[in-house]
Amino acid sequence: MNRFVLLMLTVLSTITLSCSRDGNTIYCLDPEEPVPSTAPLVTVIYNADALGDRSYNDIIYRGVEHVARENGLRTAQLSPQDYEEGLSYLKTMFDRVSANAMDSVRQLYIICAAGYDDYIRANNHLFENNPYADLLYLETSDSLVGKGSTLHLPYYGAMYEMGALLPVLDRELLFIAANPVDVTVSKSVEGFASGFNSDYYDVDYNRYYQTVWNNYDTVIDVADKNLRIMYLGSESGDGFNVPDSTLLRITGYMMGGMDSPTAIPVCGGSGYQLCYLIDILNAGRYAGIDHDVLSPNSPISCVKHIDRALELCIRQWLSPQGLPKHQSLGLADGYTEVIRHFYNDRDREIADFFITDSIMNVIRQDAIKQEKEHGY
Amino acid sequence: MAINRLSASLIAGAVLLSGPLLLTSCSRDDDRIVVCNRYTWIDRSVAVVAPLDDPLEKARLERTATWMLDNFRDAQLSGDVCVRINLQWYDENSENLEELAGRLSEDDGVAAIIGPFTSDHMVSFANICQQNGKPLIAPTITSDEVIRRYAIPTKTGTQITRPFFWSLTETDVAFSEVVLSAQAALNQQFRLTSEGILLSPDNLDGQTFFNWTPFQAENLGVRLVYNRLYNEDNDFLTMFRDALDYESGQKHPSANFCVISDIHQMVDAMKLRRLLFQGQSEKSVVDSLRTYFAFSRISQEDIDQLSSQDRLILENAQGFAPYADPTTGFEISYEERFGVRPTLSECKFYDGLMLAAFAIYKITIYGQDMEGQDPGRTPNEIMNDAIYDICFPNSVRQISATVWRANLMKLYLESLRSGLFPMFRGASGNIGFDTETCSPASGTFYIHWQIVDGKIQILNYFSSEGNHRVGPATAAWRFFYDENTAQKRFALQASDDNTSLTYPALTDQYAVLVHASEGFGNYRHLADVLNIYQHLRRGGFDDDHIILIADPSIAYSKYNPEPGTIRTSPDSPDLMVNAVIDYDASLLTAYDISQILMGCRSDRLDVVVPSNPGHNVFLYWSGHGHSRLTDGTDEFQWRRTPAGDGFTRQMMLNTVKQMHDSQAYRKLLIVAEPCYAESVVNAVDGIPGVLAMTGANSNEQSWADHWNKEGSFWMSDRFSSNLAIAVRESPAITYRDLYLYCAQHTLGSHACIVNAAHFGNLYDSGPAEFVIKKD
Repeated sequence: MNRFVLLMLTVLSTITLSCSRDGNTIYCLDPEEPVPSTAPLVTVIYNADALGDRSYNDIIYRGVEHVARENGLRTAQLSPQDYEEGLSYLKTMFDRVSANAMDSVRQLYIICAAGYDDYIRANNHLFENNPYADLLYLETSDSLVGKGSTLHLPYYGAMYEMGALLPVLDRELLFIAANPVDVTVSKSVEGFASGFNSDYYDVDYNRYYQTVWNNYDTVIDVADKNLRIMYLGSESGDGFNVPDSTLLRITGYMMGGMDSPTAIPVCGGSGYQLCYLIDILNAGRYAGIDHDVLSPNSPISCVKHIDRALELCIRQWLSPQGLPKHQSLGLADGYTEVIRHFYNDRDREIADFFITDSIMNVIRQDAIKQEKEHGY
Repeated sequence: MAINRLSASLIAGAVLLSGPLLLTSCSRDDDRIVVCNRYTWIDRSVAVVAPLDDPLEKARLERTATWMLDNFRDAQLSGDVCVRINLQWYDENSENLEELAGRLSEDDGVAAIIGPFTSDHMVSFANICQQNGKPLIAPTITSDEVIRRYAIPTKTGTQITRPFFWSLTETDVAFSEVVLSAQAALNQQFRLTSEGILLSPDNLDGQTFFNWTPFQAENLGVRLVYNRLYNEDNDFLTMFRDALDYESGQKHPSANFCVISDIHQMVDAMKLRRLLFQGQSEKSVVDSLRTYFAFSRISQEDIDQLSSQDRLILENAQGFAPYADPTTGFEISYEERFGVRPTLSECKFYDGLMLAAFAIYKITIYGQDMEGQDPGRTPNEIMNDAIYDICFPNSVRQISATVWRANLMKLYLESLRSGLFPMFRGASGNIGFDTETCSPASGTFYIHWQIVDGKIQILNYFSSEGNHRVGPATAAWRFFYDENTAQKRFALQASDDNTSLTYPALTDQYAVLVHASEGFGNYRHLADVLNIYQHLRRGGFDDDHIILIADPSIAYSKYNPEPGTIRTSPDSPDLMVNAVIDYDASLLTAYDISQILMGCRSDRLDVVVPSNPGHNVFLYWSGHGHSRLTDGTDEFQWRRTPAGDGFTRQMMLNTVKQMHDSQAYRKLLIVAEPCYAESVVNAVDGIPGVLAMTGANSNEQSWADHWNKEGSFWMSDRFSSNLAIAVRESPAITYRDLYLYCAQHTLGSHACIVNAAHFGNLYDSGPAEFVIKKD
């Protein structure tokens, strides 16, 4: 807490204990009566209908609540019901920040709503009038011009790692991407495909299948591993909320062949609905994206620890040094990760043989290297 | 001690100005010290009637209340006036509820009552609070019957009674639909018509599932083959075992839907399930038989208290529960604060408290007598009006902000002070009520949960409204039968070539009207029969052509608020006027009805339908029904006789066949209101010249309409009411249009038409040939 805030709190607490005299009567304010809080306030604004995804956005919410509770902060988290409502929140908020420059209560505004990028970049200068208000914009690799910090958790490395590991468990893979335009999606596809095309397992994997699974009519050759990439939309922002009928068609497709592919759904809300359908229809398996999925149908998850990243940021904000201008926290920093859960004997046997700590370490170091080479 | 606002401001101002100087001043012996407040504090009381005998539930509700009241207090500190809500707690499981309801409803110091939390208890309360309109906020009442009785204001002419019952959760009608949704998705994906089994508790909540699920199952392509209520005599586990035995013998996939209220029921059911499918993989079991639990009170704390063995048994168990809207963030904040997810009760209780607090705040700010409102209102009316005002917003921009936490609640209260009453969302979602009927919640959220690693995992969210985040589940409460579906169904049933049918000339018309139930609770059946009787009289029928079989004692019952009078709605005419009852139903048997129809005169039965091939005969039957699906017999129940002693399907077949063989009629029209009526009238299928219409198919209930608040009884049944409206407003209506009208307007059951293929062209003939007397 900075010195000014401490000074203000001291003055306020002195005043509240004070009295005034009128002749022989002394009027004293009741020291037990509640007074408005002056604790720092963290406000978060999400994209429309973002909360309730049981994943990325909910993890942010939980992370902010957690760090606020530990540090005695107040929070206000806003999940607008549509784009216009979110924009009106932002406008009101930015205007107030500018107008109430003398309000000495410290405030941090966290915006995890990429849909308002144009507005944010055009108006973040309004924060410059207010020494007590700060802005943290997620998730972008482009720093803000003027006042405001940015945070990015690159997925390239973690996706590379998952791309290398997943074919060991399931040889038919279906990468379902929202669209080919949005950078967060395209980099995920790129990282996964790069990991998929690596050759960590060729020799041992063939031998394993021939020895352990030789009761199969046909021994699957590792060269048979297949990755198909499906895009749900073609423009930026497309594919994150497609209708259930489309998702039902996808699950139908997944169940149509000899081997149900494992889905890797990097498509936001569409992905969560798709995973639900896979679960209730027993339509195959899927990889958890953004959060650690607990489901018998999900052997692996690619996780973003956005909660921990925000905890770091809020602590930085409270410190005398304040928030850095931009931070990129990826696989090397432990803010993205691949987590495995094996619910059946087959997965466990394969994992015991192939996904050993030493191999995992080799793949992870390569993934970290790849992530750095791609500029993160 | 509270002081007025002006004084508080002045003193606070004085303190602020002189405070630093006074830090060094001293008090003298003759000084008088007055402790002042910055705010004007107003104390108001709210009663909470909840299941406090359950220590876990008590702790949960208490911590929720503390949290909400803290937030409410903090949110008010930007104004000058603050309301302090004091809670009076009562245990709904140990209190004498009627006595408590009487006491609280008379106590003007209690602004509102929140609870009770169970439907059966709520009935005791609502009956009494209804008398003086004490505001009753129902957090978790989901019984369709209770909400229809109390939450929907009665229309009397153009006047609508003031609502007093504020239900925060949608009825289980919507829940039932959500529970079926997973199986419906399977059916859609695999083009299946799977079989379903439903077990519900024998109480008001279970009754909603029992009544509505068959209707919804039909729409969603799940063939319900077993629909039972369990109770102490026929316990859940025995019925579940029977269901599993049945299902395990089937080759097709099936699903059982279990409505439960206790975690141990789920443990027992899962144990049985595992025993039956021992040695099979979970996937193969799930593919062939799915078990879904409808469990509103599921909580992680209850699961954590089970033995490790029982927790293991529950692994992969899945089901559905009403819950909070995930976009409000309440669930996560709660979990972060208390370490466990909130239960439905807590989410709704938080909102109930918030609603009461906001309404009290509004009254405090604006005073009791607002412009345009009746100055002579009682405190209860003022409170109900305040709830109404804040829930039906007057602001142009309908932003529905989430205001359950202090910072945002503060903004909401500021809006309230400035004269804007924006919509608001609480812990569980929108605090909204239906715009037409005022009271019932217009949207509730549901979760599809599964237990994985001993923890409740939320697989998906649903709501009756749907938004980008949650899947929609059409609210059957507002279900209107799809016209295209109705037309297809009609075309299917009338598809056979029946142009070869020819009829002799019409020589006369007779009607047999049967009121088959007994007891004042069945007032509506007598009313519907008399309504048809009066319609026939207006159509030119004299009493010699109407055989009216009814139990008139209902009209003179001590429970009838208008003794000797029978109406189908509060503003309908008295239907007893000039009614001539041929037989007192209490003196007849079901067999006697058969004899009367067949024209078998006897000493006891001196009025019968004369047999003649030129006669059109109209049989209208109102009462209850049994079905093989529920009670083991397809029949129209005769008064209170046991199952099997009513007008059975076989009796219907024998009667109509004999009438046909003896050329006792030219055309015969049967209209039947009872539940499952199609299962009885389909006996006539194939017999020429007979057409039957029913208000419900073989698997479902028919429904009551028009609740009489003064006397607490139903005044009419829906199908009969619609039928009467259609023939009254369009005397020349065709059978086809009559059927479509009833299909579209009879909510909750599927109107049926039977034997159309053996009757004639339904597009150019109509019921006028039975209800309007030809010269």
